[in-house]
Amino acid sequence: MCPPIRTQKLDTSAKSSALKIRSMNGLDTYSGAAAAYSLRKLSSAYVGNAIRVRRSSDNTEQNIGFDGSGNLDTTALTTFCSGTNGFVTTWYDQSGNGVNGVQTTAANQPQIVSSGSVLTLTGIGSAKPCMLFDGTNDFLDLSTTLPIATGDKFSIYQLEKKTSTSTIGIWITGGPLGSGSPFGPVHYNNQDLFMNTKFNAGTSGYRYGGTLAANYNLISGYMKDSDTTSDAYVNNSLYTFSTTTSEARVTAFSRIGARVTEFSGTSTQEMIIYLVDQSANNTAINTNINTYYGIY
Amino acid sequence: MASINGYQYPTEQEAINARESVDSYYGIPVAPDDVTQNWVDYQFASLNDPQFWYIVFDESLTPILGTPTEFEVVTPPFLPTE
Repeated sequence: MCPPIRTQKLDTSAKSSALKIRSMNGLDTYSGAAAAYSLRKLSSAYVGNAIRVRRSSDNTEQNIGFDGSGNLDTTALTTFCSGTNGFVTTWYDQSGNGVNGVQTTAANQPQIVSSGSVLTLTGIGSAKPCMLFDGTNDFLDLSTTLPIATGDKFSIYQLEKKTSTSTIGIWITGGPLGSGSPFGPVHYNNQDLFMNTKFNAGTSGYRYGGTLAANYNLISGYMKDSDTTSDAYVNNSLYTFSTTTSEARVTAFSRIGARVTEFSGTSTQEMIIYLVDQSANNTAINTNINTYYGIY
Repeated sequence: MASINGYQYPTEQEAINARESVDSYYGIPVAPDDVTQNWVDYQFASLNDPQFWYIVFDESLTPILGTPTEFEVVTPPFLPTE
């Protein structure tokens, strides 16, 4: 189980809407997500489940929620998937907006239980449950797309540990769209980080380059007003891009874990999307996530 | 261009039939309100000439669809690239 978790007061100055990220102590709060996916309970106001799981022994499905401390209910999960494999059909949105991540095709569902054992990631703390995107065909479609209008911004927080340097990390994308498909920050199939930087009237840009090892990483990316004011952080440290360019982009996020034929090969535990600039609260949000997962 | 190991169909209906045969074999969906509605899905090679539909190979498909083949699928030119 989780060790005692240090509490930390967070910056709550940003304008709030649906989501409040809650530490396991129920003390720290934050606000304002368009969609929020996690294997922990993010909001005291959220009363739904974390995931829906299909077990491979008989292909039946069951919702899995949280225990009394806000952790994924691994007791229920291992009971349901005793001796078999479990796959995520639905990653429920905890923001209150109902933008669930859904996969209706069995072969494309990310895995969370292997032979009765919950998959986990371990950083500097205790192991925490994770789901695995296989890099071949796994992804989740958003039940409602997240539009990005002219001049919109985003702030995205995501956890990953790629299965190898050559795989693609977790990302949110325009899904089946090809050229022009938008993407949030992504640890691409090398050691570089990429991210779109703006979506203004069909002309936008992206930044890439640098060096990023295939470790357990908390990646946060902020699309601000222009290419020159977008940033990404890895484990709360500013990432240095080597190149900025431009390219036409379309304007909606619709998929987690894939873009056309490019699939994430990574474990993940959490992705939070704000369609506003939350960079002023970068450290506070990263600290909240890291306090629970113990990444760095 | 991507090299795909799988099953190729000249019409969408043939791909649908193949998908349904796999679903039937594995008993999917188990319940009408399940999220999982198919065992495997097919894709459309829209940029190939001629166009075709295909299912990417998975070991679970061999008993129903047989031995897969290798074929090329044209993918859209999109970034990021280096």
